[in-house]
Amino acid sequence: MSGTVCLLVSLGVVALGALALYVGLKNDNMAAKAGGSFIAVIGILGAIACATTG
Amino acid sequence: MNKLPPYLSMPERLWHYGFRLMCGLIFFFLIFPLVVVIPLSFNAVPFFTFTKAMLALDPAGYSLKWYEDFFTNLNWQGAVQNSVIIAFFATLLSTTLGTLAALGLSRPTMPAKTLVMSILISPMIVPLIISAAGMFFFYSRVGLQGTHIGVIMAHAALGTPFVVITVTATLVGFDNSLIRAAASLGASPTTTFFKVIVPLILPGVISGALFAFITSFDEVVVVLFVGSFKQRTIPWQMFSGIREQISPTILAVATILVIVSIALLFSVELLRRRGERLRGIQET
Repeated sequence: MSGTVCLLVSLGVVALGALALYVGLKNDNMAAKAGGSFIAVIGILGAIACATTG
Repeated sequence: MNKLPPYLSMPERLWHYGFRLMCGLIFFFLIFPLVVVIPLSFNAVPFFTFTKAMLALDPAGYSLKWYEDFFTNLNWQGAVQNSVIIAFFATLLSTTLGTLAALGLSRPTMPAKTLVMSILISPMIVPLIISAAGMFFFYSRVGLQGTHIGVIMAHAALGTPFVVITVTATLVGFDNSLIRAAASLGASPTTTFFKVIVPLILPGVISGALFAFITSFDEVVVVLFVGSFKQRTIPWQMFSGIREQISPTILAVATILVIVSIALLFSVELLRRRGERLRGIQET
């Protein structure tokens, strides 16, 4: 898989995490807040990995 | 802290303090394994124990080399890349399929509802090793074993039950007359779905998607069966790290995930509270 696609997927994961975080904040749902932040961090690590491995 | 009422008897006082102590111990038991990982990730030697230098707070006993290893080792970076790609597509697939299944199951006219629901949530009940072995034989026959698509499909099958359950739970309180109202106002089924149904079930869909993502992200048994070295994920890398060589890089990865997630969560929560304070909204 090319680096660009990998980066886009990682940004998609960050977006998924941010959406979950937003829904969690809006509905005061702790599970969505914690899960969203966790997934956003995973996405950021993924983006770093895509940049490292090319 | 509230003072105890003066009329309480000695057993009632004992129960009051004993109950709090018990809750504290259970909390400690649940949290301690997560917390102990953090100092161990700074260990200068490749062991999962506190060395004498660490206990004496000697700087020589601490090191950041496991963090450096995580960000520079191509095996680890490849594993992160695979984990993110597989979990993302598995989540998309399972969220779409699970939401559609839950919508279908919530219809009053749906036949054999219990049977279909049982089949859909069976991947949660069947032991993982049995599912993994079955998937291995089936995917080998159809040429999906050792491919990214095979692992994504396997993880989607494992994540779908979580989405079905959370969306079904959200749909329990859903008022079906809203759909009829939208139709009577001239909205097409697609418009009704995206403008009426989706906003109401979104929290359930997001919760299901989170469960599906985490299920895929920390799954190791199915990847070992269905995947190959090219599909190695973080749990696979951790598993081989423990089996073949002792590397506290695992602890560094865990620490990064825990610390950065908590920091992000606290920052967002603080910003939300500050925003509410500025807008004059009182905390309830």
